[in-house]
Amino acid sequence: MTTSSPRTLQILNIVTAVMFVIALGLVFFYAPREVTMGEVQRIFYFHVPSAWVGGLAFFVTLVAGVAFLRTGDYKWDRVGLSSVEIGITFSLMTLLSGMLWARPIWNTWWTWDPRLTTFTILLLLYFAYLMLRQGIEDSGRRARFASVYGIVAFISVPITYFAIQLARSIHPVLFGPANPNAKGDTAPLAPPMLQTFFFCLFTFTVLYITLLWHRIRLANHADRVEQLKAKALSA
Amino acid sequence: MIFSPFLQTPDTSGYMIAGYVIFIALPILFIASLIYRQRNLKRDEETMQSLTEDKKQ
Repeated sequence: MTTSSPRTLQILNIVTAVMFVIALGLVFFYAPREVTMGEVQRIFYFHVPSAWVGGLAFFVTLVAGVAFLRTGDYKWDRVGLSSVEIGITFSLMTLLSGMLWARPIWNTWWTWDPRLTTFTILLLLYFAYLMLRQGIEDSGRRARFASVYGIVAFISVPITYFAIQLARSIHPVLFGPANPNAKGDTAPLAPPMLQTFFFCLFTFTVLYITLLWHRIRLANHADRVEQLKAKALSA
Repeated sequence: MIFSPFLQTPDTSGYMIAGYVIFIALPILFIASLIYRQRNLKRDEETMQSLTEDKKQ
């Protein structure tokens, strides 16, 4: 992203791009077509990894928040902010792709199902995180408030994950036992489908690491520019 | 199994294509926003540096 990326990051960029292309190849040419849903089932291979990256990103924000409150080091604040931005991007991908899957399968773009509702609340909570940061001028207060908010907002992640197991839901259950009253239980996946899915999951995790690294570098740069501005004003 | 000869797989490829457009477009948009912000920061940095040098002179 920046002109002088470290060599490890440059290698990671290439590895991520290659893995992404392989993942697409597996999705379209290796995984078989699902008989009842047809081609739209292939959305699942990127939909679930997107949701996973969203959860992972928000967990990193929680860890960064705790680390900032303990150490007072602003690098953790930058990690938290960077991770939230990526988490929101991937959560939006999850939401939009889920709607596209739901239209032919559930015959509706949207339903107030427990999983969909809790996921929307989660997304709004993290949009509010960005708005909170925008609203506080003082950097110390901003970092403290954002850290506490990032820790508290994470409660929405396990609630969203377990929503389909705790409440009656039509959303498919991939891992863990389904609620006995649930309507969305799915059949086990065929081995090529599972292999494709786990490769995509790994690819998205690598993609998250690469994007986070770039975003943190940008945040560090922004911090340097802010210091320069302060210097120029005081001189 | 009994019904399998009568089961017709629906054509849902349009929705799948739209889904993958989103999966590719959103990360590209995010990367583009990083590049855009990086450029703006560089411009700001250069302006600040020239301002401090002017003040020194």
